[in-house]
Amino acid sequence: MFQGASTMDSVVEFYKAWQPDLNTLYMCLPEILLGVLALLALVFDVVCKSCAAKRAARGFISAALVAMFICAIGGAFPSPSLEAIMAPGLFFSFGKISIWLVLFIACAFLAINLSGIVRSREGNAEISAPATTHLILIATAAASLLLKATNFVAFFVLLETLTVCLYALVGSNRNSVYSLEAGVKYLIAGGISGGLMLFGIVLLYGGAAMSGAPVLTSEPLSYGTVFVFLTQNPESLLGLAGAGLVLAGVMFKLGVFPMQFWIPDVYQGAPSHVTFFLATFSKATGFFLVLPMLATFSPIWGKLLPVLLACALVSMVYANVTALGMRNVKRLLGLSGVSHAAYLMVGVLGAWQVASSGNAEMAALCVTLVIAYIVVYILTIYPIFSVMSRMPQTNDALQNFDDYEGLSKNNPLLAGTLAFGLGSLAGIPPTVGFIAKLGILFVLFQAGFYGTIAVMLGCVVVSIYYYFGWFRAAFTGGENAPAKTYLPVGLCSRVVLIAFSALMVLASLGYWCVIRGI
Amino acid sequence: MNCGSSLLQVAVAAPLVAALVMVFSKWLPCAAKKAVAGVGFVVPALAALALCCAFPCAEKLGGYAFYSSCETIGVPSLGIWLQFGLNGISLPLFLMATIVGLAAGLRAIATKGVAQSGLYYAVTLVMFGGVLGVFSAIDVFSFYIFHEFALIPTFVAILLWGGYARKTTAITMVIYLTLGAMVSLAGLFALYFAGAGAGEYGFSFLGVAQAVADGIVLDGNVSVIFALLLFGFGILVSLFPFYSWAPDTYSVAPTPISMLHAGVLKKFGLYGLIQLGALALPLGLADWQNWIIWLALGNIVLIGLITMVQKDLKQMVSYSSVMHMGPIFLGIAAFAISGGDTAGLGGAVVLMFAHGLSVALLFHLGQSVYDRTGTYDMTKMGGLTAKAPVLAAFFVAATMASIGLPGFANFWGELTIFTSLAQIQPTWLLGAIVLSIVISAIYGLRAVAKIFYGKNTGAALSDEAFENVSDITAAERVPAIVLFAALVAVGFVPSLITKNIDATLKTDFAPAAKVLCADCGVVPAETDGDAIILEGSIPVEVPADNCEACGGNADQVVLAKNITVSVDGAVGNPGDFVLSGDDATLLKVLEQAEVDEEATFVVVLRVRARIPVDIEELRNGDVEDIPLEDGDKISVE
Repeated sequence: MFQGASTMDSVVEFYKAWQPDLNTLYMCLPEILLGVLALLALVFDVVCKSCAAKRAARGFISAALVAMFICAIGGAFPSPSLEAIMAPGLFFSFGKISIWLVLFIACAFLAINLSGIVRSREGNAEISAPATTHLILIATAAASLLLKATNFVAFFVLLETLTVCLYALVGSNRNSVYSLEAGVKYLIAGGISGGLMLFGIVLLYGGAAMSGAPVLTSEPLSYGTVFVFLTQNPESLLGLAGAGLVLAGVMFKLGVFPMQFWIPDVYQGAPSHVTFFLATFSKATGFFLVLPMLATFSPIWGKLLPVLLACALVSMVYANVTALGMRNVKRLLGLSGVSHAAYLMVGVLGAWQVASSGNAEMAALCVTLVIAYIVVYILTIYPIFSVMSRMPQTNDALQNFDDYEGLSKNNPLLAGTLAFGLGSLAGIPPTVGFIAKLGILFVLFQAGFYGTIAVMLGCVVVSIYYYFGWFRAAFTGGENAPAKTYLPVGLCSRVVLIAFSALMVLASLGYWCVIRGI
Repeated sequence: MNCGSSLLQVAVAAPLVAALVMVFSKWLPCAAKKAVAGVGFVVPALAALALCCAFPCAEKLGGYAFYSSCETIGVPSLGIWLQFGLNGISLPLFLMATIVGLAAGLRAIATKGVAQSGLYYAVTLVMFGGVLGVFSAIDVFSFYIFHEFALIPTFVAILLWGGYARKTTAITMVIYLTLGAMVSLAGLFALYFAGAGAGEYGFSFLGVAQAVADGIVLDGNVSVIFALLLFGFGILVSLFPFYSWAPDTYSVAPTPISMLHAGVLKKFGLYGLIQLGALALPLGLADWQNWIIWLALGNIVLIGLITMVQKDLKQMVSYSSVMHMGPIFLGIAAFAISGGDTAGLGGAVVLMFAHGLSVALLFHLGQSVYDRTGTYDMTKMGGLTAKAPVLAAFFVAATMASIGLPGFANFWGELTIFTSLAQIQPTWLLGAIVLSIVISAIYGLRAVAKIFYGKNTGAALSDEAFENVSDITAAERVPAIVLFAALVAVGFVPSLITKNIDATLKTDFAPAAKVLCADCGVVPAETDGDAIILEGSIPVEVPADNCEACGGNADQVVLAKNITVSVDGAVGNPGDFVLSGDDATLLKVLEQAEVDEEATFVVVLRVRARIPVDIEELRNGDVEDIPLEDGDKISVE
């Protein structure tokens, strides 16, 4: 059965085929541009000596990112056609726009922006600006390329590239023991998850190669091959174990049980902008990776569904219950992030269930609703981090509810922004967070996951306690406390914060337009 | 869009716009702030009065006057978009909301020494805008959103300007109400997916009413959907035993907020239960009627007893507002108990109207008492009549209204509800229910006696301070007069609102009443070989004799030889089939419809039932063949 020689040949051929041609390079245009920008960030650091020149360089990179963002939204970048990416089944696209690219660039831009604020705080001078920019951009490029990959070699290499960048970012505040500890913890946890995933890939590879059919061995590591293998051997234990392990690696990125254990510690220790980047970018990567993985593993969907659903439900309950006792805001956001990841996960599963029942039109709508949820999450969490990084204490790893007392008296703008952000996270109308949750509920109803709906609604009620606990701290107290000094909010940031708060409400209208457009 | 619908939109928008202006309150002088807020409170009240006058001759769309819709906000293809309008049920509630809002607004403006007064006005205005939206939006989505929209200001107001233990109370309230909101959201979703939103007007009260009128069968378990709505809304309305958030919230919240919440916002759940629950799910209501009776009895008797022992005036009024939800729930249940008589529903709407006004008046006057004595503790007061006779007169009148004495709107509501409950089983329950009047009288009159009669106890006010107590001021008098006038006007001329309520109940609720009508004596089609069908669109429920309650008439019954059923799903020949009486069984229809070979399962949908059958078992004779009725929908899977 096992044809060792021919398999080896096929691996060699695979690497030969990896030689980039012009067309492939064109397809990777946005990633190449991001890579160039990342290198420029380092070059600028060496070349620009004066403060003004450095500021100009930062401005250039920001402007370039904004330009790329606009191009991506406008559909100027080549978007891989569906068939090219996913031979086996459904893949998502927004017409000509690669929605993930838009989101990744937005996350990178906002994180770089936040890093400026974070660095200006006392005790954060060790964080190197060019290195931060460089690593964020490289991670962004890797993640974007990752979603264009069609085989598990590229998948693994790119995922590790991304993760290595994140290790360095988490530990980038060398003066802070919290940051270093978080870096080490993330390294170990990431190593475990990477190992599990690699093991899963190997199992799938072995299974596909051993099954012996010629069509399978020509390119044994591509998604298509694995799909064919699983279609032909839906009962294969090897395939099931492999799929489970690969999904575990993806769930690590997303932060869903059982791979959520790293989140509170790492979120707390990492500098605020990196926490933001983890909360948005890493989650988005995990989320967008789940879709092609589910497509690849769709032949064993019936076996995966209960397991994945159970994982999502456990993380929902776990995160919300654990967060009840949290007073440290970064840990709290980490756990809240786990619950949001779980909402996303059940949304994806629901959409997939609708798709597998054959209703393609409704499935497309459901996928859109789930994608809208992550867009809304990113939109919501930025203003919160923006407020957090302006709070007075020196060590933001130790920020807790008490530090927020009297915020509404001392700085109504920050308090107002925080209120809108928390309201949207909790899903209170009329913020867009509510409509996004409604979208998920719609998907779940469509899929017939009634039990999940009950659990999710229960979790939303529980979450009110900690979100409004934070809210309450910000809006009361501070009568007797000495006036605190918050980081100054410049005119530009003021406009941005107000714009985000307004967007939190107005986006609910925009949300309808997006859905109608599908 | 005509003038009336613009006026309605202006009424909802005015407070919100005024609230938006308050963003600049830092740069506004105090008088300007008060003026802007005043405009925000007065405009809706005037608009509502105008709309009330225009309502009888206004152009109506399915019973809804002043209809307007905006398809940009929403997704028409999913049946969700913003729609505004008023029908006979929502009109009185909308009017009540504006009157209470006006009174609460004037009370808020007159309050002295409020920290951050601009924010205070803004919060009250946003809440006011929200409650107006609740009663004027007719699509269910906006209806729900507006309710939540009004909840946030409540939370902020309690947190910033609340009384004792405000932090704990605020968070308890939010968690409790979010729980209620989530359960009712699940219920609304279930209703939506059961097919209530498929019609021309989407998932709106209008669309649901139309679907019911067209005899569209809900594809879901009506009992479960109704239970979700009942308990979800029940938490929001402080149905026993889910009431514990209410007394604390109302007694801690600033008075204008208590007036708006206890008076108006709480009616959201009852309104939803009438306009969706009773209308679309009459069988669900019938299933749960006993639960409603016993829980409402808990509201009346248990909460009534708790109210009686309150020493704190504001706590007492808060508990009384919880207690008075009992009769309203019973009014809704009476629809099922009486077998489709809509009088109970009408009584519930009138009582909602009246209770909103009277409880707001009590909160308002309670605050006036507090301003004079510096305490809410009734045992420390006494003899205020000597110093504040007008205040005393108002308070006595408000108490009388709350008890339900003739001459006040409450009387008509309670009277109608009690009479419509005549058929309640066991009969002695009626006695327990009427106890509510006695209990109200006990605590109300005791409060009057303690506060206004006797002598000053000296505990709250020293004799010198008591001498300096002044009577009710003009700023306090105006809101009281507004509320009092509305109560008395409807008390003496109930037809001001009942005419419209009755008209809507007669038209919209006729199909639901027909479903509940037990006296109509259903004669199934297959019992005597021939199917008997009614001319018109409601073919299944067949009255044999005269049925006054449901308006059925034996003259309309005709004998028919054929029945019509529709078949869809995995069949070669879908569509309508006309069958003669002998052929009217499931197996015969399936033969005619050429069922696909892979099909394994068939469901028969009719108004009262959903019958799933396995095709193979049916063919083998393992299960009995199903006799069909006219109008059955057969779905093969």
